Amino acid sequence: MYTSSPTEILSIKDLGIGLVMPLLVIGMIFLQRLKIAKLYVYALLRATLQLALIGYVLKLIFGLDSGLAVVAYLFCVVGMAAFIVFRLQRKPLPAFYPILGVAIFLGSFFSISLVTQVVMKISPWYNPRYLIPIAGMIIGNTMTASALALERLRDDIRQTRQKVETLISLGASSSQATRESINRALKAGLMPNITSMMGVGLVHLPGMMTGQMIAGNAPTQAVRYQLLVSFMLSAAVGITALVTLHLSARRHFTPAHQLREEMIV
Amino acid sequence: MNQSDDLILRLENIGYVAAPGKRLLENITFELKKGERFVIVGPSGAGKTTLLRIIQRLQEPCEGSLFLHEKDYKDIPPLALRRRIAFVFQEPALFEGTVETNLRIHEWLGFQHTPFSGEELEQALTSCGLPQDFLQRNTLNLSTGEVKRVAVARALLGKPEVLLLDEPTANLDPTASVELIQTLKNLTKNGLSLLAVTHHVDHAHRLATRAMLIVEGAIIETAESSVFFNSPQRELTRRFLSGELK
Repeated sequence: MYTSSPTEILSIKDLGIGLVMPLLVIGMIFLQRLKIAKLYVYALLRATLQLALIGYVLKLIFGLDSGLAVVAYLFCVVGMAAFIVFRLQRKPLPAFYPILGVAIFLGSFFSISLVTQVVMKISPWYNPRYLIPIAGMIIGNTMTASALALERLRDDIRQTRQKVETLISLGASSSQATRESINRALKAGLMPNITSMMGVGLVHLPGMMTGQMIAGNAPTQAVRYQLLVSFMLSAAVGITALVTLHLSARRHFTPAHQLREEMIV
Repeated sequence: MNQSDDLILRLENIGYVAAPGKRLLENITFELKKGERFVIVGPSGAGKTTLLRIIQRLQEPCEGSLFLHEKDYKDIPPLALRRRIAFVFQEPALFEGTVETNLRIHEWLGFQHTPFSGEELEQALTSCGLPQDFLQRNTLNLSTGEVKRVAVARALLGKPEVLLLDEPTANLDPTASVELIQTLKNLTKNGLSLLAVTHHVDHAHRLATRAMLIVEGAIIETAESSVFFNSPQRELTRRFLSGELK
């Protein structure tokens, strides 16, 4: 039986101990004069700052006890998620930002609603203790799916432009002409989630399950929570990728199914 | 048959500006009749390919109108238009797989509700100068000339009224070029109208029943083949036919 309990409240000193490993990595990268060093430091600092800020924001939202505040916060998260994915594109085109917003919203909304309102039946319906971390987890995963899917689709249409236009000239609609591109991009978008599901339990114990066990719940109960999250994540990721791809593919063409030159960049 | 039945395509004052200060086409007006082999010649960069793309509505013109059987393009669904006016690109793209896979593309697209019979596919191949046993050839192993013929056969299986060809003899050796030209001439005997663009004067002369010269996006001269190539009326036409304009 396990008799000692780990530290429950982390101090700044505890955080400092945890920082030792990334600092060692930064040191090694600097010594080898690799260009990624600056980006690594920037990412670490940004993560630290963002998490510190969000801690205070969430404290405020929890304190307001307002459904409107929680919903407004989640809409901001979706908008920010779409913006981050948009900026990550090799050549961001304004047309894609609203598409990403809609895709991430649709993919996340149904999963979040199902798990919090139907399965867990949280009370009140906006309880931020559950809604915000679950939404954050789901939205974060949809970002990866939409980013990979969109980038792959754009590359694929550009590289297979001749075949796409040949199909169009044979009388195909834009959706027929891009079917193969969408298939390949969908595979790219879903692969991280598929890979994660293949390894879960065998290779890694995911965050929800880890959190549940640290909180003292039995592993079998933790597994149920994790399964629920896995189901919701795969659904959210799938919906987001599909919506991203179909809306983006259509955006490459005019209403007369002509390939738009400005989209092939 | 009256003249209006013969008229397939009519272009009226077509203009196209690619970018500010870069006009590719200006006041292009001409007609295409049934069974005609109309060849547009001109130097590279004259706007010929852009014109073909506009005719198949792969691009919109900036000015002017197009009519198919006197019906405005705007009133014809684009997908249906592209079935009636087929286009073989200068470098046609064949899909992975066999020649048969490519010919059956119309079934995959949902236009051919009854699968093509073996005889229909073989007929399409032979009409394009390919042997009947070509169906199972892998498209990766075809020569440039064979790719073009398969692309033409593929287009013809859609039963178009007009066939557009962009530089049909490009990258072909002289023998293959002459053979392809003869094949194309045979295709128009059943009423198919042909509209081809090329910068190759000799090939244009062999193929055309009527020809037109475009230079820097503008029509210089249009005439029956015998007049156009043997006694052109415009100085610029004479210069182009003699090889001075490239």
